[in-house]
Amino acid sequence: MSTVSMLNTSSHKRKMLSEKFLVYLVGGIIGAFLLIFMLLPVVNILRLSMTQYSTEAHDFLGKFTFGNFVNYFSKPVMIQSLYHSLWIAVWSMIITTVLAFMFAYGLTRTTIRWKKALYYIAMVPLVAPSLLQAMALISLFGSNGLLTQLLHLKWNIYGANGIIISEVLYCFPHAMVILFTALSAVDSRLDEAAASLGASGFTTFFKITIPTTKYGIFSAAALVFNLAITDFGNPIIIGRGYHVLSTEIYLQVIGMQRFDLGTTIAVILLVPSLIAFMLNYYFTKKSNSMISSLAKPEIPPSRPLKKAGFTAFSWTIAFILVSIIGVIVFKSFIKVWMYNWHFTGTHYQFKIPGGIGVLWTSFWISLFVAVFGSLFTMLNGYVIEKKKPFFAQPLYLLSVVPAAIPGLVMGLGYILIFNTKFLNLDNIFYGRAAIVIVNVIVTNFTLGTLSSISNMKNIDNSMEEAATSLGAGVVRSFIRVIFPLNKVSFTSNLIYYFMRSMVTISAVIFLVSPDVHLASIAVINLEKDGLEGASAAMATLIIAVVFVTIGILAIFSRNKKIGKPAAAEE
Amino acid sequence: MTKDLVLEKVSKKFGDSYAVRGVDLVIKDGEFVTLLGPSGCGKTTTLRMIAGFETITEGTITYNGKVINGLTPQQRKFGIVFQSYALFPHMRVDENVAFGLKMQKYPKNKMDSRVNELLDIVGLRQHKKKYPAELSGGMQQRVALARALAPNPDVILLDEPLSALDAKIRVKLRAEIKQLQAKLGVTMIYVTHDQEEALSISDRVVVMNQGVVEQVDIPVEIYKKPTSEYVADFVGSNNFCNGVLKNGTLDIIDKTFVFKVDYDSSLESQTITAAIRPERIEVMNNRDSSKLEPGNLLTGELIVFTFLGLIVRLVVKVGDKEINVDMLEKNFTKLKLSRGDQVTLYLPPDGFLIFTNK
Repeated sequence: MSTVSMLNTSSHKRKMLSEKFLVYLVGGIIGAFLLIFMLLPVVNILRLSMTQYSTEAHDFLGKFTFGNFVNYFSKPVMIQSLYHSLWIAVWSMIITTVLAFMFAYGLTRTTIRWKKALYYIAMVPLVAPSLLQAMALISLFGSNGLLTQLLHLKWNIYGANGIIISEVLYCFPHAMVILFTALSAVDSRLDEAAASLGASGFTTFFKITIPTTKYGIFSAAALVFNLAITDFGNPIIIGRGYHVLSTEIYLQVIGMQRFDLGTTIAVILLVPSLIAFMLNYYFTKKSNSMISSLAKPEIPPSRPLKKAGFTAFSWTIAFILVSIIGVIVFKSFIKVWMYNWHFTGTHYQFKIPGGIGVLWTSFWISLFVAVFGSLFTMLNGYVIEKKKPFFAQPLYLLSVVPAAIPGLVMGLGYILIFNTKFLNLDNIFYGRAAIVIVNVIVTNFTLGTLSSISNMKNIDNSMEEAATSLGAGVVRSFIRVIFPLNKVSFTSNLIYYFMRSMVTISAVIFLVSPDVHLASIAVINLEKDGLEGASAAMATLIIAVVFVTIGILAIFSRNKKIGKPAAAEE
Repeated sequence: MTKDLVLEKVSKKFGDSYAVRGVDLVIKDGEFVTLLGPSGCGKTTTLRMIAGFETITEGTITYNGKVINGLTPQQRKFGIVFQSYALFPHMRVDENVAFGLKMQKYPKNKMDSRVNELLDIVGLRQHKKKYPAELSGGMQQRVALARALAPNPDVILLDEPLSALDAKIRVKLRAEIKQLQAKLGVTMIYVTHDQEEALSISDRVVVMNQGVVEQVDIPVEIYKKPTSEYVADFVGSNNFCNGVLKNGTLDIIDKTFVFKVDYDSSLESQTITAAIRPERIEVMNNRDSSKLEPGNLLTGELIVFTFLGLIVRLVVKVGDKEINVDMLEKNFTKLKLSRGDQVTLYLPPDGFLIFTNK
């Protein structure tokens, strides 16, 4: 061997090592980020829930105890919130799953028209904070609601029923997407095979359609359970004394300074939420394994009655979902709802700290969240799926856990750890916008990472090998090959993060400070103060900002359509 | 009365365009008929109309003397085998096979033996407790076949059942299907785009193109006597040229060649398309060519040859035309030909197929 080639080998080795180091560095940074900003606050809550607390000093005394839990379970008033939460979550789960399944069935297995429009309308609830449903229901069916007065209704929308209806309307798109995927993934020829063997429509539905999509159904149900039990916005608005775990945490912490009870209830909320998450995760995996690679959706024309039935059903749902937003937008321009129907713009002159500026704050915070969130999750997916370092498995685990943790618990975790001297973060972090940005990125880390991983899976490994063989290093092949191929998923992650950041309530309600006001929190505060017109106006502005931003992003990402290579489609 | 399946002027419209137009076809009881054509030719739509998955826009389908247009798939009781197998993924093999029997309210005490009987037929009895996902593609398709056969239907419809399988298994399974059909005497209607498969398996082949039936005949006739240029092109391969028939010769349009050709005198002076199959063209081997038609002898350069096993496909460039020629591998080897060699070809007058341009 000549010296020249030996030199080459050693420089090649050095290059390989430095590339490995780079991957470790990126993966390590993301891992550390999640450890500090996700795991630590939650573990800290766990610790504090088992620590003695002084109600006089409003501080933890540092002694280990189970007293807080004993305290909780010995007070019937307290336990009630657990029962309430479970009641709400179970009913929301059942109703939402059934409705969303029928809706998704109509979209995937019948020949109703305007399917695309219906699909997008079903997604509409995602653009609004999860209290809009409660606000709209009160405006329509509250004691002074429009329909209550018009139709002389006697029922009471406040309390459990109101919360359940709100949650159903809020969770609908989440369940629908899962069921839509499950239904379209199963080969619709199974139905034809059953029909040719003599099975009637009903038999086919119950013996074939339901069993083949059961994992999708379970997964959707578990997700709805999780969303409903952890939601804060809707119950705080429409609950009116019907306390659930999430509102109880808030009231104990903010109202009574009882951090002991706050952390204890947070842990209690964490249990069903974690279980639901794990079930959702398990069933999603199962559901994906049912996907037939030969699935060729081809829908025979539905019988007229079936078609008419599903058309009526779908458009009723669509109408209700749009009405929820329509009512709020309309209300924001009405002088005094139910008393003075004159149009006015005065609700848009906000008399709150920060004024209209809160919207701007929310906007730029959301931009930061969107850009860094999508970038982090994409790099994370790349490291986990493509580079597979030795710590890929724990990193993956850390990345999927955030979805299991209720936003409110995470928020509480943040104030409890970052207002202390921990890592000296209190000065630069606590009470600043950065804490909000980090919190929203972390709480929504799961979906971003999962979508990035599944996208990375779709990119053929030979793609990067080709780039490498042509002389590109890891950085260049990432920038020139992986990133462009990820553009579509990157954009959808941008939209997702932006949307979540604009509308999130539960995660950030503990984190707003005199310096950082957020629009979604302003909605809740205005509503609680009885300034319903102004809260409707703020909600309208949030929705408008989300819509416009999504529109702009969609236009920018539309022009270039990267076709998948033929081989990758098989 | 025999249980014939009769299609009369059957058409299917999607929107304003016809997917299938005016199909007339009689499928006899116990016959194996293949619908052959490229994708989009209407063969699958025709099959789905027979199955009852598509409504019939015009015409009637009669089975056993009764019009079945208005019957649902359940009422028709035809067995169906899909390209994607369409096995119920949540049921075991035996449950899949038993499904149709259960729908028929088949006696419970005989169910097991019937399922076993079918699994024996397709040779999968030892796999009866497995789920479809645990079986190979070929095994899955056997299960699908057993499932379709279980309720003992008179007609089985197969929609490209083998096209998702590997070449080897495809050939093996198609022979099995053919044997099974002959043994059970069941009518089979088989859709495929693979002409070799169609010719090897069928009693009769229906060649379809753009929603219309081009030709119905036994495989040999389809291959030897295609009635249209389309069929000649789709089934097997052919060399085509356009010309005018005059005084027993074919004058090629651009005047390069004048071939002696056998044709029906009624075609005199007509402009036609002629085709000759690669295997009908002979490669001259210093053989005495004085008794052959001199105009049908062509000399050109061998530009490519492809080894295909039993035969070798030659591409010979004559003037600006490329002619495909097939010859037996052993003859090719004897000639010791290599690329760039000059080759003399003979196109026998009775080797030409004549198609009038419509």
